[in-house]
Amino acid sequence: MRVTRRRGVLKLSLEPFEVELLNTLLDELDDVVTRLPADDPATGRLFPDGYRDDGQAAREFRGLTQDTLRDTRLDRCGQLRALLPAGGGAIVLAEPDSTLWITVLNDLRLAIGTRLGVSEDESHVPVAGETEAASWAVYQWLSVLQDSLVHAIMG
Amino acid sequence: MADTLAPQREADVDVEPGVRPQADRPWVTIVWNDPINLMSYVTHVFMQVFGYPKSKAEKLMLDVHQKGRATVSSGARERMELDVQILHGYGLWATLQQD
Repeated sequence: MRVTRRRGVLKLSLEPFEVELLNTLLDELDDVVTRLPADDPATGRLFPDGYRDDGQAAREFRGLTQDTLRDTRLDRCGQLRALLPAGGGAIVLAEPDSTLWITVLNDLRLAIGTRLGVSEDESHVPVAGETEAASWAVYQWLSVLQDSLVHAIMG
Repeated sequence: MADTLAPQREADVDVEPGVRPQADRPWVTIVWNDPINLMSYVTHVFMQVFGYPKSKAEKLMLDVHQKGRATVSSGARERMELDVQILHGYGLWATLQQD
């Protein structure tokens, strides 16, 4: 994975296995957003309450906004899939695609990070053999990719 | 007793000095700290959603990160509900409440 910005042109290069990984992660996100499984902590984080201390208002707000937010997230998954360079390669990112990239990467990080129980303590380093080591590696890769893109977009 | 033109007694409204009546208080959108959203991303979202200059967006982001929360906009309730909805779309942990 490589993010470059030259003369204002933002370019993202992805290896074949990275494209494959993103496709898999997008399928998983699509599934969570479609089903909203109550036992998956990602559900609550992707669709938080709009009111903190007013349960009734929070329910009404959810009733008014949740379906739209679900549709938005599912649409974005589909749009990002269509932007992935099949078999790997470089793509040029301009608005609105660059915003699409960083918001979907954020959705992926929220889902995975919440399941991993990511905390402010950044000292956690996955070790070989740890059950969640693969998820941690993916999470950190997504973080680097998102951060690189945000900085490149902001110039 | 017949109605008179004498002034009616004022309705009993408890208004403490210096406290505005409930209805007058503005609504605010609050963004809460969370360990997943990147500082760069949160700054970018504040700039994009509210049109804030980078310096103001960074200040708000640091408030969220260091103080645990920041008020990012204020106004009518409907407007704040829209702001919260937009911020949820970006994955930020936002709520609204009366100030």
